[in-house]
Amino acid sequence: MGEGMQGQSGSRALSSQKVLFRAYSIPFLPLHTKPGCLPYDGFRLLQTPNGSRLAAMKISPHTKAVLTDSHFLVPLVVFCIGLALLITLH
Amino acid sequence: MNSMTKTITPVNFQSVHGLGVICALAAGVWLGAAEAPTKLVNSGLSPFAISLCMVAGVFTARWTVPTLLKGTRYVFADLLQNKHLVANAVLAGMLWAVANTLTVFAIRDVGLTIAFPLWNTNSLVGIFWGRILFGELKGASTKNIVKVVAGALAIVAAAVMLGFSTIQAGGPHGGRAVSGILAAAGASLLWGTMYVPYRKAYISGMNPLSFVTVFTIGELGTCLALVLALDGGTKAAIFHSPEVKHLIFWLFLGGFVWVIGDLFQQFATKYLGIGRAIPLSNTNQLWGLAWGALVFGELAHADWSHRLLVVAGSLVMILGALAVSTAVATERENASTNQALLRECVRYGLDYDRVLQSYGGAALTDGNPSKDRRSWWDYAIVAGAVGFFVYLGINARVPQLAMNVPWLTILVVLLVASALASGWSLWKATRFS
Repeated sequence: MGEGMQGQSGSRALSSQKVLFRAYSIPFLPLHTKPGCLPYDGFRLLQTPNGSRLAAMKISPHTKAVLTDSHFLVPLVVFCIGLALLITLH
Repeated sequence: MNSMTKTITPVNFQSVHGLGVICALAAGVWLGAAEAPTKLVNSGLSPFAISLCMVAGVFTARWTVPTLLKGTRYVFADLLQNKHLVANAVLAGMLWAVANTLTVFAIRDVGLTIAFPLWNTNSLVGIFWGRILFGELKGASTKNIVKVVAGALAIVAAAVMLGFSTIQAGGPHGGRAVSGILAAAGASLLWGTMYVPYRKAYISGMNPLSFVTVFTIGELGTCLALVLALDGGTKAAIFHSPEVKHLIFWLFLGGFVWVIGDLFQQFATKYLGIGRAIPLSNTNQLWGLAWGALVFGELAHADWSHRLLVVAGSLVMILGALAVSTAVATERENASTNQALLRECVRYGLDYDRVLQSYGGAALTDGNPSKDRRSWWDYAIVAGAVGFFVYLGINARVPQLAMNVPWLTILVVLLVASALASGWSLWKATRFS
């Protein structure tokens, strides 16, 4: 679920599902995915009133705690620096 | 959990200090030996390929001896209990993988004898993060602060001496000294930061064996991605060269040695903290120097001033590391460690008493002794992993490198003896918890 996604506000449709965090339009969904199912762990596929399909990423309190934890963010930033150095020296 | 109002229970951290020191010293012996197989980079394999092979060895080796220490049932129950640490463990593996690849570049450009001490300045990085993120040294005595600061400065001075000795030395590495030093410095930054997830896991009550399990997945995935992205993709020589099958055993062996050293290092981080565990396990510099100089004859053609600078730099670095590691934590400093534990419990809803017991080395089975038993599939996994090592060994060819066999034998004996002594101490005191 990376390339090809475009950010889009879908708050009205998502709020009724109570999985509010962020919505993306998905131009090319796998054929087996249907609205309401869970194609990938942590993602829920939804359908807006106008028929377009959205994926809402559900962020649990635990996940949010990890993603905003300096103990996770500091190593992540350092990893990016190291990777950039490696690519430069390559 | 309403931990903010919970009374902090004092715990005797000093009772496990000696155990942490023993583990850190054993880690030094094993991690120093693990670097020797990277000498194979002179055999034509790319740094990415060397890293991938070593990490594949690490991954396979994780399922040999460590599986016998604690079965998969225990490990996966521990992981389920600490799901929030999985991302941290994967990230730690990713940091290791990039740092390790950088070290192979460093070895190629400035040699093992020089590169090794340089990236061991990761202890400074670790001390910094330990203070900033976990409150290590907070409330420490003046004597301890002086020891840590003086030791850290000595390590920096030693790194500078070794860096200068490289540039002045010229020779086969002279032209690429700057990139080699940059690579080693980058490895230092990454390896110093890698201890942040380590430490976080252990102040959350996780078992080092569980952490290493996920860690190796992060390592393997990153190394594979690096080969695919930067080393020719699926056409990379590592996947097609007929020479690889004759060399891969030695790199797997390096991975095996490394994973044992890393396990001791994980236990040392758990029982000593970052600021003390890294310098002490960085005595691997001494063992790396021993392997490089005594077994591979790296200093054979160096002039006396070059050798003097390398030896003096190494000695200053070791003295600095000793000063840092002999700064035993006082009661007030231990109170700040307790605060770090409490922070994790509040943030992730962990049971404070359970985390505290686990941090102190208690073997927790949650009233279910069967959780700690090995299953038939544990033995099957071990047999499969060992069988793979045997298969690679049958196809192995001794690398075209001049080695001093008597010194090789002596260092291998020391390697085994250190593991037996530390393993026995860990089992007696904590049952590898």
